[in-house]
Amino acid sequence: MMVEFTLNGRKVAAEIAGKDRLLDLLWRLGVKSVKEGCSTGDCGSCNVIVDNRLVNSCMMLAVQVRGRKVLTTEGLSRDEELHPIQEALLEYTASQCGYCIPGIVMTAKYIMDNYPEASEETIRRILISNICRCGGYTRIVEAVKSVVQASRL
Amino acid sequence: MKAVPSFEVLTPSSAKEVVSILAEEEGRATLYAGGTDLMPMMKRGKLSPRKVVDLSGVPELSYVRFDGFFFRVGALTPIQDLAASPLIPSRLYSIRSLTDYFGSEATRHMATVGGNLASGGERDIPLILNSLDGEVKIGSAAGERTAKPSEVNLKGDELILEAFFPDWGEHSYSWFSKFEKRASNGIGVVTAAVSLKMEDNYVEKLRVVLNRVEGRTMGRVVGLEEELTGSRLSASTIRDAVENHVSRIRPSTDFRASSDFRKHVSKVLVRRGLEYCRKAVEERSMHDG
Repeated sequence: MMVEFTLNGRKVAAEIAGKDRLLDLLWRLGVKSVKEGCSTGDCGSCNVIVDNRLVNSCMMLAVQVRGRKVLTTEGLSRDEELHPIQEALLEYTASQCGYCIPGIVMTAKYIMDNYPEASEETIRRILISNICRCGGYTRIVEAVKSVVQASRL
Repeated sequence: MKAVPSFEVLTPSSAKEVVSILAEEEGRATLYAGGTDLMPMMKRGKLSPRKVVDLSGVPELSYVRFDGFFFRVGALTPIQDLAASPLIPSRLYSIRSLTDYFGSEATRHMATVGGNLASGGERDIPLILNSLDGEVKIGSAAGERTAKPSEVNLKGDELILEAFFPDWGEHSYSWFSKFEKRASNGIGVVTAAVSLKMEDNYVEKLRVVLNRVEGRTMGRVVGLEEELTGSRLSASTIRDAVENHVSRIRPSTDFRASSDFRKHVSKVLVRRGLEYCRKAVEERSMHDG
């Protein structure tokens, strides 16, 4: 069947099978920042934003995004120019192997958009969406905190 | 992890349409709401549906309403929308605290009230709903029925429509807690809900619910409720009554925790819940006076 939706600001149409997850569809469309980790909604490596809400693309069916707006890391950066969240993660050396980072970027974007006044506690509470197997949480939290604070100025 | 099994997807756009599909398929169709339970089951090879009914096109079942007597929550309301609803007062802390205890924010955007009730077992929504004397409205082509949250037992042709519970009033407080083995986003070892209504410093109504009272079955600690109803609460009456009654539960052992450990944690949580509720109601009453 066909689904139409908005991907990173552009309208797209794609042929899907019933069993396709949003994650599968995004990969087929060349959106490869979205990573499959646990496949059960624990790790957050596949986090994307659908209609301004953070979701796990490994548990959402592709058919469920019909008519909706999907945002991935590819939609944040323009050409070679990085988004402030990506700049902050680089500045704080928050990425080790990097596998979890696109999911963390989307969680950070969700926090900036929905909790602009977030305290460190709130940031940590929402970042439980994401597991980093390298264990680099301290720098990840510092990077996200800095970019959320900077966005208030 | 296995590949997602192949299935056909149906996309109804109203509750009526869902119910008629379920009737036609005679139990062969599987409902897909947030998928936070179904997808992991499919990936683990425990479930291979042939037909899946996507419920994301049925917004009419996503709402939180209060009519002055009852709170009504549509079955497809995401957990986040329930917990953060401006209609849910702070004295329904059990529900508001789901933002701390129920998965991650991403999970709460997907998981629904009806999905949690349909999954049954040791879930947070049936436990909290049970402690508030709530009920579940279920629909099928044959009509509607209501069931207690612990007795939903959904049949193949049925759809959960709504969860509803009475307002316990200003002099009440509803509390929930979960003891889990990691800081958050885990599966609870012990979950407990306590709802308390006071009148002139006496207990008018009390509900205490634990995730495992007998084996793996969720239930109320009725003996404790009866002993404390009509009494004045103090630290010592709470401690003695909890020791006396919660000691009688027989939770089953599994890889997460032994029966003895579960019983111990159950006592601690119920005592904390009772003390928290008592203090909260007393403070609220002082502000009234």
